[in-house]
Amino acid sequence: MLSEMDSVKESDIALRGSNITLSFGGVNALLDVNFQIFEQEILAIIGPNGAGKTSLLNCINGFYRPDKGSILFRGVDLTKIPSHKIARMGIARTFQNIELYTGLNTVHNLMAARHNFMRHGVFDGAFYFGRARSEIAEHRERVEDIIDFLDLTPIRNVEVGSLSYGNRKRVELGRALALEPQVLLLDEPMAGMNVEEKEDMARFIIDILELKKTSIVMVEHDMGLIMDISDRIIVLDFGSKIAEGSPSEIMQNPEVLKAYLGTKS
Amino acid sequence: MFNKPAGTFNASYTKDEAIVRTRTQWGLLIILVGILAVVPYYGPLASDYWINFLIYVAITVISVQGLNILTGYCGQISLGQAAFMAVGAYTTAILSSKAGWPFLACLPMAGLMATAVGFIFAIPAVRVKGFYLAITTLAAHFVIIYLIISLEFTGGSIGIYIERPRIGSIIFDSPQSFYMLVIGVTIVMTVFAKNIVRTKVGWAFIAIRDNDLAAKVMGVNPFTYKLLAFSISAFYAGIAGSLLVYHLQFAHPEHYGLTQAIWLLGILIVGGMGSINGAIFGSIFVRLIDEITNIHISPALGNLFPSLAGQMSAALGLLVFTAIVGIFIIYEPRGLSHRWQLLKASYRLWPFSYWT
Amino acid sequence: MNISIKRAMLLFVLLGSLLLLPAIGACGDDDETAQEETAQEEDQTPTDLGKPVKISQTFALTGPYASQHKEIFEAYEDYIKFINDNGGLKDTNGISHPLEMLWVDDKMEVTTELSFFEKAKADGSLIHGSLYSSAYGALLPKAEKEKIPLFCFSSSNMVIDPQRTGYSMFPYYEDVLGAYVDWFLQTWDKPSQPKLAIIALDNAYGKSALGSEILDFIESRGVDVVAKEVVDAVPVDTTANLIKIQNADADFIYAQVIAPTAAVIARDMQKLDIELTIASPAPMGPSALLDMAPEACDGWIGMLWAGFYADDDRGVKFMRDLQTEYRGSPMETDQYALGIASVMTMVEAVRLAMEEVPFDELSPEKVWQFGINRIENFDTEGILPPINLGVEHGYYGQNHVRPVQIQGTQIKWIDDFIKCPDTMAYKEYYQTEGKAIAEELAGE
Ligand SMILES: Nc1ncnc2c1ncn2[C@@H]1O[C@H](COP(=O)(O)OP(=O)(O)O)[C@@H](O)[C@H]1O
Ligand SMILES: [Mg+2]
Repeated sequence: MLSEMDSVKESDIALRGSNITLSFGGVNALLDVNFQIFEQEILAIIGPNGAGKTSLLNCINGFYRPDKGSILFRGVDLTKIPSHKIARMGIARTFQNIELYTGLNTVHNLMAARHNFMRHGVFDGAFYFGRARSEIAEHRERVEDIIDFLDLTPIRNVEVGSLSYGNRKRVELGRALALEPQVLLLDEPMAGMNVEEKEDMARFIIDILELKKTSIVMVEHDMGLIMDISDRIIVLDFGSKIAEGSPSEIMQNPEVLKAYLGTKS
Repeated sequence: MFNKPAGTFNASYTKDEAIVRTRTQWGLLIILVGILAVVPYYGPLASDYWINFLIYVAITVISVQGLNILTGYCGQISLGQAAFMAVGAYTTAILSSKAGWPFLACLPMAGLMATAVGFIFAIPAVRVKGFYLAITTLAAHFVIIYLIISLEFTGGSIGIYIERPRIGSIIFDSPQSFYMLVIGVTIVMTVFAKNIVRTKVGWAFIAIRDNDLAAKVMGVNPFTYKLLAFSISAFYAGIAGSLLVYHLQFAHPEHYGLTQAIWLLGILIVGGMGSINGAIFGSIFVRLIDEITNIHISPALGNLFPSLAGQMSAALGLLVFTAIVGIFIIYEPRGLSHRWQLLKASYRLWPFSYWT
Repeated sequence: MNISIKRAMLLFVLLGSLLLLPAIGACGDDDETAQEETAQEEDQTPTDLGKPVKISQTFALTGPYASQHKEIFEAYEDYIKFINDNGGLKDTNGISHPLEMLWVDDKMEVTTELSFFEKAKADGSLIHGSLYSSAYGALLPKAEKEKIPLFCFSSSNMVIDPQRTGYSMFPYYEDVLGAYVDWFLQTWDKPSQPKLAIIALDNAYGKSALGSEILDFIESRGVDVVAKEVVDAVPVDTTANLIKIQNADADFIYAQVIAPTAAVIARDMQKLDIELTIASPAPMGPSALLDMAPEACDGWIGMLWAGFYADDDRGVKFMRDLQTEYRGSPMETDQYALGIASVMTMVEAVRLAMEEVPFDELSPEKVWQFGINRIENFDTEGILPPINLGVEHGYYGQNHVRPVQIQGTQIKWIDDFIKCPDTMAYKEYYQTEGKAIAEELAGE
């Protein structure tokens, strides 16, 4: 895969973060982190709790503004533009603690995410005529595709506030997909799931990569799973990147073993 | 979400998004509109008194629909609704009495003027949340009312008399004809509200209300949409204010007190925030209770216990209103509309009501 | 549940309870009267000789006007009992009919006012009364359309313009200010031009003292208006306003305010050691002011049109008798006097109409035509100067004021009734245009 290549072509890089430093009142959440995300790869970010994984994702989609450093995506520095514009550029994400629109059902959670693609405004909307009507029909079809793809059909009309944890995680993934992202950030997508649900989720992630040609960044703790599906791994510890490489490289990295895996074994 | 009527399957997604889906529903809708049209002429409500009441309820519905879009759907509390109604009312009063504009010109202009004023006050308001937002909108209320009292062309504290509305050569002079006009506008505004909340803008509002963090990540600019919600809500207030001033035939700043803004919020809570039906149920329910306690029960109690007249019996209206809102907040925070949903769900699935 | 919605609800509860405070505050005073009243009622034998004759009146028994309106309410109650105890009202066949009042607490909400107006109309009320101008303004077009006589306690200029079937029996606020200026000038012996400062409440009633016509009138009398201060109904502090007035070197002050406002002004004047002649019109209510600021208000003048302030007064005696009869003991208030004068005039209109029109044919329009229009030199037991209403009599009610002054713990008349000057040029309106409209209405 890409990581095994000797030289990296610039055009293969989807997103590049350089020297990212972020601190919260003395605590360094991120310290001089450099990373690249390649086109169409699954990049896993691992590290103990509090290592700065979520903070890194938050920097990418504009929730946090790094104190130093830049994040280049399609020639634009993401650290300078607001979250909703970053979303429009094609970066979608899910959250560690599911953040859905609890008052809407599954279909409409996904429809809401088609926001960027719909052109109708409040006037067409008020009349529910012409563009509003045709657009909604059209986007509804895209949404239904995603619903099929993620096996959400049985819960499509259920208000998401009342769904099970696993289903909500899945709906959240669907909502991120509805944005048709080029880079998909997943923050612990399998946390709290049973083995079966985890396997489903892993299959979806691989399918997304293949069918939608998306780059996927995934924060995860389940090492077995990461070894199976990720192309490359970045290891964070106390805000610093301590290692980067293919799963097999990471498995043998003594520093990683000491800092992270070592604690487990 | 609740089930569609048993046995309803949708052939297309357009149909699935439709509000009225089955033939029975169409039938019921037509019957409802028919009843609304006949009410002022036949039956127990065909008196000036009840028509006056229905007109007021309908105007309330419009204003509450606007507040519902802002507070119920977009999650932004506002105490400025009465003041925005005043803007609509005064736009109408001035244009109609001083420039002789007809109804069809005054009504939209009242809405637009209120929108413009609402927009201006929304610019600082959308930057703050919760209690700070409430205080900001409260300030908007006082500034607007102060301006109306102080300016010369608003008639200051004297007020402005206006003529009955007219469209072409038709003058809506009788209570019945004015009722028809108001009901017509109310239906249109309600349909608009329903459509707004089931299209792109409405989903963006709900996204901001339910999770503004996630909304941002999904590309919704909260700033723009909150501004939009304020503007739409002010537009509704403007239309309601315009109709109210045509109804009263007199514009006066004392008609648009803070109490009115609080009533509107209370009606929204009782009806159910974030529900178009809720705004209607709430308006009817609260206004009816208020009417009965104030006009009927309270004077009767006063006559029965003369020592209480002007004391407990006078405060009864407010006590009952506050009690009702309190009860709803504690026992049914989702309001009457939720009760209605439950009722419909149990009816639809009958006799297979094991579905949950 | 969403946080912002929860907050909205919490805020709602807070605001709601704030609103309730004044309402609850208005409760709970005189409980002693309760027993006496019930005792009174047991003595009475119902004299149900005919169907009741109904009049209707709204009060704002909740809100800032609650205490004033309660007194007016009691005046209505007492006078109606008095009429009924004296045989009710006789129709053309000599049959007596009891008088009944339909009433409502409108909480100062115009929609309640309108709703009650429709209900009273449906219930057969012959004449309708409202207390303040914002409500009156919304009722007038409806009343005019159906020729229902409409009374209003407020006498700001909107009451007469346009005036068709709406009336106030009290002098117009502008004229009262004019009368005060003239009255003050009588005792002005300095060579300099006198300087007047006006303090106006921030509403229709208050601001009517600042209208261009009355200001022109004051100027025409050679008085300089050196300060115009607008204050809230219940202001926190008026020192800033008073210092401005002091710096403007004013010689006398006119405060178009209500009692709570006057109380704050009085205390602030005492603090600042300002000793200028200060007066207010009747809605201020000197007895209420005396309750609120007993020491500070000494010397304050009320330009009243009725009150309880002389033992030998015919009107005062009449009212004391009424109160002793129905409330156990007299309570010295001016709002009660206004209430009596108002209800008396309304009942008089009904009585006059009943002389002419058979009972079955009575209607608000008939009361307007044969009642209101025939009120000429009507004597309210001396509470007010003679009242004239209707087309032939220039709509005017009566146009006199009488100054009282708070002296220590007492309120005393300090002059006789003074006829107010006509300060409003457009009053010619009712002699010409208004009269034409009225005749047209009557002629149909
Ligand atoms: N908003 C914040 N305010 C203060 N400290 C924060 C904030 N977000 C993250 N941190 C701190 O930054 C560090 C990294 O946190 P995080 O990125 O959530 O770790 P991870 O996702 O790897 O578990 C932690 O020490 C955390 O306490
Ligand atoms: Mg984390």
